[in-house]
Amino acid sequence: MDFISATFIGFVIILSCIYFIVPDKVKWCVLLAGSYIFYMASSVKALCFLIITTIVTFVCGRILGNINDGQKKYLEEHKGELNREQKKEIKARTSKKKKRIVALAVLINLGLLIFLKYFNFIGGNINSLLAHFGVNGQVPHLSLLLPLGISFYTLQSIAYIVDLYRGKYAADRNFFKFSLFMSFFPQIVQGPIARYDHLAHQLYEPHKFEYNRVTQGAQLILWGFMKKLILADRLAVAVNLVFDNPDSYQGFILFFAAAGYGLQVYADFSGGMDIARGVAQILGIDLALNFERPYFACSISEFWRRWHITLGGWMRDYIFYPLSLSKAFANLGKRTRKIFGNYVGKKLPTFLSMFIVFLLVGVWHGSSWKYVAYGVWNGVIIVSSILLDPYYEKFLKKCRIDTECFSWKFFQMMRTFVLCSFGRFFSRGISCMTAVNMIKRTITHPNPWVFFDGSFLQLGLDYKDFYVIFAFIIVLLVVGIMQERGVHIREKIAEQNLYFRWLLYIGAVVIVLIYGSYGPGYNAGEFIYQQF
Amino acid sequence: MTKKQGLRAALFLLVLCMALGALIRVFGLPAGGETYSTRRRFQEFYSETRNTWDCVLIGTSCIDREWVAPLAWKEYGMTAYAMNTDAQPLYLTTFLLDEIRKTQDVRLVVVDMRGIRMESLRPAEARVRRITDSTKMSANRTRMVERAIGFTKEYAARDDVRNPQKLLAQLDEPSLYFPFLKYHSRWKDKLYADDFLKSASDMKGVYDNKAAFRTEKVKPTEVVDEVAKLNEMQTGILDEIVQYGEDAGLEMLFISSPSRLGKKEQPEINAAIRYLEEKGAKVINYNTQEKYEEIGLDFSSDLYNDHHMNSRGAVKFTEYFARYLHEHYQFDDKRGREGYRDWDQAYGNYVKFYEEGWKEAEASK
Repeated sequence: MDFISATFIGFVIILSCIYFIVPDKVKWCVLLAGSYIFYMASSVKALCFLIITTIVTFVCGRILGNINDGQKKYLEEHKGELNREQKKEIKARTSKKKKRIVALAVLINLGLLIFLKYFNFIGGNINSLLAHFGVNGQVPHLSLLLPLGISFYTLQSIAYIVDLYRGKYAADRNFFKFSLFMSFFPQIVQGPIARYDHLAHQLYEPHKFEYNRVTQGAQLILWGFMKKLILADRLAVAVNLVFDNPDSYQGFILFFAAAGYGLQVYADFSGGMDIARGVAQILGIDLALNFERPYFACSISEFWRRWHITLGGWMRDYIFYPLSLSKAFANLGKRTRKIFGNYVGKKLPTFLSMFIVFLLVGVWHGSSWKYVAYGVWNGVIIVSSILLDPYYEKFLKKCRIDTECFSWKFFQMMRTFVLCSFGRFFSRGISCMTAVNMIKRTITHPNPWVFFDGSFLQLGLDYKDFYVIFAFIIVLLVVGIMQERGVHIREKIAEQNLYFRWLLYIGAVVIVLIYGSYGPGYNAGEFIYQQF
Repeated sequence: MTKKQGLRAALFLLVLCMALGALIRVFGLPAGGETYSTRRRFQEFYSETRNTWDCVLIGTSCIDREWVAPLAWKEYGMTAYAMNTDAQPLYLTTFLLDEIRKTQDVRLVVVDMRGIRMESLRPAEARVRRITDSTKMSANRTRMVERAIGFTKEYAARDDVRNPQKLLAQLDEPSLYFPFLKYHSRWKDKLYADDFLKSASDMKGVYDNKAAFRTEKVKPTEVVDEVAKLNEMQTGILDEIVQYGEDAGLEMLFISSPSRLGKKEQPEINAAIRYLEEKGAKVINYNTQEKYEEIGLDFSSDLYNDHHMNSRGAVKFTEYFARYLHEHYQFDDKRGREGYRDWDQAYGNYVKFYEEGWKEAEASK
């Protein structure tokens, strides 16, 4: 069931009505049933993988919870009898046990993800490698099903297990409620990657119908539809044409396609998030924010703090910190300090962890070398920018450049946009090599005349489409600037006269219906991140 | 939610629905081209005074090129309206009749049989859309779309059909049911006054294209007696129409419209004539030498292309066919009656249209 479909709208309306009608006690059951119906409407077969992950996570979570409780109880009961050393020893013993449980849960859940998503990629590379040495041992290519949202709910389950290991909260004791946390329908398709302590209690608590909340949720959904149908799916026509025929284009057309893809992904993904958050808001649930105007970022690292925030947060909490604060990395830092000096030695664990994080972010997007390259691209830019930062600062001071004025910030934003756009060659290109060639031809074949000779009108969009794209980007920009300044747009709208509000809402619906890219001839219905 | 909020929400939904209704009216229909003229034909049909038609003529594009309703009105006071569409799919005839009979209690239905040929039956999106897109949303329209989809699949499944995949690929089912999905992108095209205003029929369905004033010397039809074998699909369609007429108590008249017909086209039409005659249906083949002479059809001056009569040919055929209808069906003479004044106006409009059209055509020579 696609977010962009009459079926989904009907589903949300019916589910919401049932949710608000039934007694408080069973409200969460309605959400659970709705979530499973939503999932089954997409794929019944894939449901078993979701159930496996749910069972494994729940059982392991319960064991971890019991261990935590047991340890806590024992330490409380023997408070006066145990000295520091003994307490440490008990904690170490239970920690060992917990580690085994965590390893088991992660192995199964991540194993499923890796097997389903990366088996053929790994197998293909092993085969190529073996063939290089003349060995014919073929790893078979399997036709594997990639369950909807597996990349999202697997990370969610790992976060839950690791948090329990860390004793952040108590384990869930109700399997069915936990199943709801794992499968909540607005966010299972493409996130946001939820944390148990933020989402679970909201799902389990009953929510009453609140007029203002429902209307605000509906507005958010409408905004999501606008982003997806007016901008993302319209840009997709030109972007797909260029990326599917990369050899036919060069220079600015290629750059337009890459930058256009960046905007497309933003409108598509953040539009999907708006719909998900809007639906959840109608039901009284607040989903985590996943985007904070990423194209206003002044650096790539800031961009990643604003883009897919929940993935970034997950990587920070469960990969970056554990790695950079680990003993092994600390030892590495000590050793390298002797060889490369204090600065590099001190920074190396951070750089290495950061690099690994971006490599994983790249790989998370898909099983292809181009995604590895995409991760490397981002990792290299971020690490090198931190490395070069002191020299850069010196340079700016010497050149007396005012870094506080708007023009400098604007330059930084443009620079970030350009760098991001070049990275898009990897994530959207057919292959890693194609992406490299496209970058090469973008740089070595500058062709500014394409802005004047009608070349852009050969990309499947006419000038009226470009007007719509341009107009909507302006709208996005204005909305973004207002949000950056702390204006809560929906609240501002709510303060206006009724007639103006209605005009605005009806106008927005009409705009989506008329200017949206849908119907015969358009084939860009699926959300991009749904495929990850 | 308070009562006030509930009321406000309901009112908002009402206003939204009204806005969407207006939107669908404009962007739920095609723009420009031949489909646009068909759309206008339907709009005019819907604006006709209820139960004022005696007869309806349906079929392919030949019908409105050869039938001038205001002339028949002027001569006999009969109201016979052309509700054809270009390459009209014969398998949708019964649904079209259902739609017509919602507002017009016609006594006679004249069906042109040109569409019975397998080549004419080959489903094409445009052929179907000319009817379905122009028909108002209703259960009948839904059934019409279902039939079009079902027929396309049935046709594509036949062994003797070339490119069945292409046939199926053209089917965009959702947009057949909801044309707005297809035509919302009309914002890129020109909008017409008819998009916003209700258009009334000013010439009662007369073909008002400038082509009606062109003349092309066409090779006369070489009449052949050969009779092809109709397949089950073709006989099924004919049976369906005949049965519909019987069930609805309608008088049905099947005709083969006079125009140039190729040697390959005639055997299937001949077969349909024979099949219908055997079933006891009333059939007239106007594509015989004898009928051409009776009508006075001159292939050198009365057609504007191979298949279509110009307005001169149309006058000849209308005079001939209206006399036939008058003699055989004795429709009441409604001239001067209350509620039929627009037919008098239509005649006036038609005369002006005809005279100016030929004057312009002569001047441009």
